[in-house]
Amino acid sequence: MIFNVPFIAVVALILIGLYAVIFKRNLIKMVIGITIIESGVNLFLITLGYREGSIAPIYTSSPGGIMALPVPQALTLTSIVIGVAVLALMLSLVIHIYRHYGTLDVRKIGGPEE
Amino acid sequence: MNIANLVDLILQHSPALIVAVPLIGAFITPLISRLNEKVRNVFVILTLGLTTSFVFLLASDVLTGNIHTYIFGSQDLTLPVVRILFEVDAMSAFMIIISVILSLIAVIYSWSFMKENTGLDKYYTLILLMTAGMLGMELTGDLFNFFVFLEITSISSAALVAFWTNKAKSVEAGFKYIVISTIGALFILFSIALFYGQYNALNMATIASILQYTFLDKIALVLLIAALAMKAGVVPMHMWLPDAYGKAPSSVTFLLVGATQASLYGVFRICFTIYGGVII
Amino acid sequence: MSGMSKIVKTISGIAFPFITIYGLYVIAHGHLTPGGGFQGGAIVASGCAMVLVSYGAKWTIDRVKEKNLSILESLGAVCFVLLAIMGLGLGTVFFNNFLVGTNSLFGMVPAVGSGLADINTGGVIPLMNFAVGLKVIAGLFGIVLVMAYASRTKEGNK
Repeated sequence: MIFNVPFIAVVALILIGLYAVIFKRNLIKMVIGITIIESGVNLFLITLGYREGSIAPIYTSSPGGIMALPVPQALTLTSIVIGVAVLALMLSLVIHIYRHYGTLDVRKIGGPEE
Repeated sequence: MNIANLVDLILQHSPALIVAVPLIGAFITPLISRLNEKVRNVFVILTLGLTTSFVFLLASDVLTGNIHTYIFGSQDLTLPVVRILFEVDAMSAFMIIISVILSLIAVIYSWSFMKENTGLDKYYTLILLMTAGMLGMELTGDLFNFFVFLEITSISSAALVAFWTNKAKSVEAGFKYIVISTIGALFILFSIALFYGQYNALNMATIASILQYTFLDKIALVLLIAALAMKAGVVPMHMWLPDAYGKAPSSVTFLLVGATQASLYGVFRICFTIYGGVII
Repeated sequence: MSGMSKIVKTISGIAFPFITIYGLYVIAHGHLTPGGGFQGGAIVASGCAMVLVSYGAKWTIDRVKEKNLSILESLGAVCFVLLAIMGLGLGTVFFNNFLVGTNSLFGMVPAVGSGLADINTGGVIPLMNFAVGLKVIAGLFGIVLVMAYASRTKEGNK
């Protein structure tokens, strides 16, 4: 049972992130919700590489024994870099929207054509 | 070395060169645009012309019956290391011809259409990055590599849709596009993790040969089709599509059509290559 | 965005060289210990963002021009793709590791098993780590600088 706790945490993080994207009205809270979903998926990728009783996969002065898988850690690193780039672009677009409309409420921006 | 040897060498290395030439062109463009504007435009058109010639060379060989594979990093297949493969068959050749012709026409059209705008060096860099992403997405044979190129394409196209930042509607259309596109991409990554956890492989051909149709595979199929259809603008998830096509600059709308059809190519790959022996 | 008080400015000026040297250590030892191009570049960019917040946006923008950062970023990316193409020219395929096994710069091959490893190993991987680290430092610092510039202009107008 103790080895299933990371998977329960993954599902909880993804559901909290989806709740924030769907039900919140502030634009910044939607961006934070997307970041929480991304943290959940990264945690799922790392948890798949664990073997019972293993140590970190580093060869420099290691104490011996079986090592955890290093391939999911490389995939997670790529995913974190993609998440940083998407977050930077979304925040720049939010700054531009705030400068045009003066508000961050999603029900007040938009509307008919000027 | 005569011409036949040179053409043979280019044909052997062409899947990697088709992705590498727009990529290095995209990184050299900010350096060249310090000199002059016309030099930069001519450089971008020449880069895309070179890529078009490589694409037609590769496609003329693939469409007559051979399948090309290209292994990155080493040609020694006995080492037990995870390698990325590019695999070109007839459907990939069809899609890369469409993508590169759309990109060449968009760049030639935007020489005079975008002439009065500022910040044009970022515009051409983003167009070359988006072309490299589309071509890489259609040539690869590895699932995680497909995800990385899909993200490169969608981030570049969201920045291009919001290019006219003085109009409020364009920025809002770009924001809607990137929120919906990122949620779809995170679910694609979740499905790829489900595949890796069961089979310890990321290559499309390897997964297709050892696939047992378990319950987790059914969940992965549903999530992949829904998320890739979300990026292609299929009906229950189509709310971002009229705004993004209408409020973007006209030369970007060409490329956006190419990007959405490349996501449909992803659906075909999942359904017919990976799940081909099971659900047909 | 104006700067903070005198104590904050002094302490961040003292801490900035240590953060930069730690970040460059993480970039350089990427093939032996955890780290590499992106991780070390993010550490140095955090140190630069600390200087930006504590000294104020106007002070930093007067000293760091944004177009110099753009040139550094392009140089890092061009070096990375050139190293990959040199694998095509000197060796067999794209991204080939053409320096491992030879007697040149990073060419030693260590013995299999655990133990203290040499920095002289790895082939073309440490060179790619340097190129990616330079690009990440310039890129992340450029993003933070442009956002600070954008919010400063809005406050100045309103």
